Amino acid sequence: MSDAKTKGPRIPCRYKCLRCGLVWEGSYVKGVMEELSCPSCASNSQRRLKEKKPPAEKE
Amino acid sequence: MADVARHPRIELHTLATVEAASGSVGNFKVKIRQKPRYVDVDACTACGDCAKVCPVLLPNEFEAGLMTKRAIHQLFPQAVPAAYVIDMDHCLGTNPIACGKCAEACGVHCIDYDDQEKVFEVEVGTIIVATGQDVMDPTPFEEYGYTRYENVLTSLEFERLISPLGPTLGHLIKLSDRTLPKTVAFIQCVGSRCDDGRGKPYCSNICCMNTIKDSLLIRDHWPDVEVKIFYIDIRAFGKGFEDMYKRSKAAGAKYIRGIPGEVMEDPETKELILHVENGDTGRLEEHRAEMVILSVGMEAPADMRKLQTILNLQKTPDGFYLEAHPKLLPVDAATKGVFFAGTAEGPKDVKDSVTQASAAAARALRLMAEGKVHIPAITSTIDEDLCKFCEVCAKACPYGAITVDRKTKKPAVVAEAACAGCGTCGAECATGAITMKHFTDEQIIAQVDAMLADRPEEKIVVFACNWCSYAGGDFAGVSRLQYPPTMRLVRTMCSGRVDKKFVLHAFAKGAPVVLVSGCHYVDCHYIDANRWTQKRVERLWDQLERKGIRPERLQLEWISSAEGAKFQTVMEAIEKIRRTVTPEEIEHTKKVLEKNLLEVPILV
Ligand SMILES: Cc1cc2nc3c(=O)[nH]c(=O)nc-3n(C[C@H](O)[C@H](O)[C@H](O)COP(=O)(O)OP(=O)(O)OC[C@H]3O[C@@H](n4cnc5c(N)ncnc54)[C@H](O)[C@@H]3O)c2cc1C
Ligand SMILES: [Zn+2]
Repeated sequence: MSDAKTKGPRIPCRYKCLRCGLVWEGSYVKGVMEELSCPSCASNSQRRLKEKKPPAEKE
Repeated sequence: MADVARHPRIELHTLATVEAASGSVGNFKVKIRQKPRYVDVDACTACGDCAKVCPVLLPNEFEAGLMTKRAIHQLFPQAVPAAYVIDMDHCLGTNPIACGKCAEACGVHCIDYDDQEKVFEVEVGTIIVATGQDVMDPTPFEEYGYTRYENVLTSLEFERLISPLGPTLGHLIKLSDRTLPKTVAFIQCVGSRCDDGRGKPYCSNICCMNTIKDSLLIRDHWPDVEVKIFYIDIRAFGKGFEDMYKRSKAAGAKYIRGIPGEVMEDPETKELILHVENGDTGRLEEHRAEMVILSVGMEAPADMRKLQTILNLQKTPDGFYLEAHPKLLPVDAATKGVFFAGTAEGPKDVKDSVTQASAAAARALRLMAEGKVHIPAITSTIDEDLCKFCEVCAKACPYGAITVDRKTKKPAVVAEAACAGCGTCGAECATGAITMKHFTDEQIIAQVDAMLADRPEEKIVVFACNWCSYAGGDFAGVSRLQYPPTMRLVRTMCSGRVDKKFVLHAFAKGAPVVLVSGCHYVDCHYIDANRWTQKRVERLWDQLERKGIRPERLQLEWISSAEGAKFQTVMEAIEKIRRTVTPEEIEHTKKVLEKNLLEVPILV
C-alpha cells in the first residue's frame, strides 16, 4: 500500500468533486494512492470517473 | 569503533548483512549472512607482510580510487577489527594457478583460503538501522567535465587527496602534473537541489560546511592558493557555522553567487575555464582555476529496499527512511523496537549523526532496561473459528503484525506487541473474525444508533480519527469557531477502522450524510492506514451509486489537528449537502439498505 511502490506512468483521467460537482482533469498512477483535493473547493471527496472505452472499431 | 570492538557487551559482525528478521519488539530473530574474510581475525596482527607479497593490484575504494590496494588488504587504516581481508573475486588463491604467496608470508598462519560464508541467527530486543548514505554521482552533469578533465574532482576525492594518510600524504597536487594548483574552484550543489531529474531535489545539508572547511584548510596550509567558491546560497545554519563561514571569507576565500554553466579545459595548459552569471553583479564572468572540486551531495543507498522490506520500514520521497513522527518520534521507526541513527534517516553531518545515534541508543535502552513493553489495550484479536485465511488483514496491517497462511489454512495470529491498534484489519475483514478492543463493531454501531435515535434527518454522522480530525474538531472548539450543531462525532483511533458496514448502517438508520475523516496522507499515525480508508470510501461510492443512493452523501476529508478552520469550513459545506437530501431520498435509502441492517452484528 506504500506510495513508494514501483511507480508506473501517470495516466490522465477525470475526477468529479463530490462536494461542488466540478469535473477536473487529473491523473493517477496505477496502484498508487494519492491525497486528492478539488482545485475549486479544496474538498478531498474526489471520485475518479471511469470513462467508458469507445467501442472497438470493426473491420 | 575501537571502543565498540573492545566492549564486553557488544558483538560486532563485520562483512555482514541482515538477510531476514521475524518477531517483534523484544523478540526479534535476525538472520545474518557473513561473508568469509579468509583471515583469522584473532590471529592476524595486521603487520601487512601478506600485502607486500600479493601480486594483485586493485583500485582502493576508500581512497576514492586515487590509490591502489592488494587483493589482501586492510579496508582502511583504522578499520575494526584490525585484520586483513581477501577480495576472493580477484585473489589468485591456490586455483587455477597456485599463488598462495600471502599464506607463505604470514608469520602467524592466519590465512585460510577455504573460509566459508556463515549464516546464523541472533535474538535481539531492539534494532537500530544505521546504514548511512551514498555519495552522489556527478557524471550526469556533463557540463562540469568530470569524466573528461583530470583536474576536476569530487569533494570526496579531494577529501582523500589532502588527507595526511591519503595518496599524497596530504600534499595538495593537480593530478595532471603533480604540482600545487594556483587556484582551486568549488562548485556547490552538484546533484543537490536539482529538479531536472539528473540529481535530487533536496539540500544535502553538509556540502556548504564541507567546502567552507576545505577552504579554511587550503588557505591555512597553502596560503598562496586562491580559493573560489561558486554557490546558490550558503547554508550555514548550525552552531558555530556562520562564524566558520566568516572566517573562511576573512581567510581570503572568494565567494561568487552563481553556478557555472560550463567548465572547459585549455588543452595546452590544462587550465579550467568557468563561465558564470554572477548573481551579485548581474554580469557574465569568466574565471580560471587549475583545479575544480564538485561539491557532491548525498543520496540514499541504492540497496535500501531489501532492509526496508525485512523490517517493514517506510521511506520519504527523498529515498531516506521515514521516522514514526517528524517532531515527537524523530528517531523511531513506525515498526516498534526499530530506531534510526545517522544519514539512513536523512542527510546530516557527523555531529547530528552522533546526536541521533545517542538518542536511538537511549530509546532502545529504555525498552531493554524495563524488559517489557507497554501496549495500549486497543489491539486486535482474532476469532479463529470465523477466520477464512483470506490474508486480507495481513496485507492491510501497516505494521506486518498479522500472520496468516492461506495454503496451510492457519488462522490469523496477531503479534500484539507489534499491533498499534489502528483497526484497519478489523475494517477489512469480511467475515467479522477480528475484534478491535474498545473499538468493537458493537460499540461503534451503538454510538451510531444513539446518534440517529431521534430525528436522524437532522444529523450528520462524522467518523473522525483520534489524532487528526477529531483533534481538529477540538481545535475548532477551543478557537471558538462556529460550526453547524448537526454534527455527531464517532471517534476511532484511525480512519482505517471505519468499516463499510458502519457507513451503511448509518444510512440505513436514516442519516442524510456521512463524513469519513482522517489525517492527511503525510500525517497518518499508522504509517499508511488511511490509504485503505480512501480505497474503501471509493468502493462505497460505487456501491451506493449502484443502489441508487447519491455518492455525494458520503464525504471524505483529511483534516489535521491544526486545521480547526478547515474543520469548520468542511462542516459548513457538508451541512449544505445535508439540506439537499429530501425525506423521500432518506426513505428510499432506508428501504434499499434494510437488508444491510440485518447483516450488522446484533447487540448483546
Ligand atoms: C562528500 C561528503 C563530505 C562530507 N563531509 C563532512 C564533513 O566535513 N563533516 C561532517 O560532519 N560530515 C561530513 N559528511 C557527512 C558524513 O559523512 C555523515 O554524516 C556520516 O558519514 C554519517 O554517518 P552514518 O554512520 O550515518 O553513515 P555512514 O558513514 O554512511 O555509515 C553507514 C555504514 O553502514 C554500512 N551499511 C550500509 N548498508 C548496510 C547493510 N545493509 N548491512 C550492513 N551494513 C550496511 C555501510 O557500509 C557503512 O559502513 C560528508 C559527507 C559527504 C558525502
Ligand atoms: Zn470541489
